[in-house]
Amino acid sequence: MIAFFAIAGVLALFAFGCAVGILQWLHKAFTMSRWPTVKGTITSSWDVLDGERLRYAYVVGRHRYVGHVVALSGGPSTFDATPQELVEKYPPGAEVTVYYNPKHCATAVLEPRSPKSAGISLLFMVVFAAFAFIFFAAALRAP
Amino acid sequence: MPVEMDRQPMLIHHALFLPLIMSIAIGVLIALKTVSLLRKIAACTRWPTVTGKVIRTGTEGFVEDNSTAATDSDHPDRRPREETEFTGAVIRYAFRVAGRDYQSTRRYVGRPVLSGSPRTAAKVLAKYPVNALVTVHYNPANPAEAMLEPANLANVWLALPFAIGFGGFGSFLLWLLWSLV
Repeated sequence: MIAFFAIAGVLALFAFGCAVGILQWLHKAFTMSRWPTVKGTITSSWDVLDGERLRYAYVVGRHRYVGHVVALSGGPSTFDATPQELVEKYPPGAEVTVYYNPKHCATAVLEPRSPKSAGISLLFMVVFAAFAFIFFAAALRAP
Repeated sequence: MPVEMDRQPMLIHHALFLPLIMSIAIGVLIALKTVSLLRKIAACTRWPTVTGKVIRTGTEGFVEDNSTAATDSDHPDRRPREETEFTGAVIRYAFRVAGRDYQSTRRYVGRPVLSGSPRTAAKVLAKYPVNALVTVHYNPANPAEAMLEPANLANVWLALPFAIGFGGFGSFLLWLLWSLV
């Protein structure tokens, strides 16, 4: 019975960790989507197809900035857009809407609400929570 | 007391339902993704075409190491298993739509399917030599989205076995378990 409780507890902790990740994403997405926007232009070339970083230029006040970040990401994953998918969405010369941090204008993002990382966390949270529930129920019913 | 003792195996039976339901859910999700791919393929085959030119070709891939430290040390007499090399051809082509130049490496709908055989990649490279003129199908709403083989079902053939495997395996075991409980 104690073993079942322990397993349920560990799984519940994993689920909790995922839930914290989702809440952090929601907080950041909410904050970034309220940042001011400005029109920018994709300045990277077609060599993004060869692995070159995507670049976009935007002007705030009298300063010109160059951004690289497309969306908030928890790190590289197979769910990331491939270079081909990036140039299809952001071809060289295309006009884009840039969300920039008003306190630090060099920090900018193109997709403040991209749900990729939160979606993965949500999936893991559901799986961990479901198994935690089963082990918890097993522990309660154990003789 | 016997009733209490029976509860545990009963619960284990019930606990087995969850992974099976998850397996079915994964199968359904992959099946839905396959349907979405087919719909996209149907739409892409109707896209307008333009003549483009192959500007660069090459291969991409990765090598999978089939041996692990654990199996090697457990079975020192076993012949080391070979590495599996997954390769895919990369065809980069350029084309012009409404006075603007575009480039793409997309051959078909979905991500490139890498093959375990370098021969498959070689066949594709032979089909698209550098400087060859090709018919490019492009999205009229976003010409940067283009492809050479819109009717290619590579990703559908890749997804189908997984959809059938997860969905069918889960459904069969669920039925089996249901009949036992």
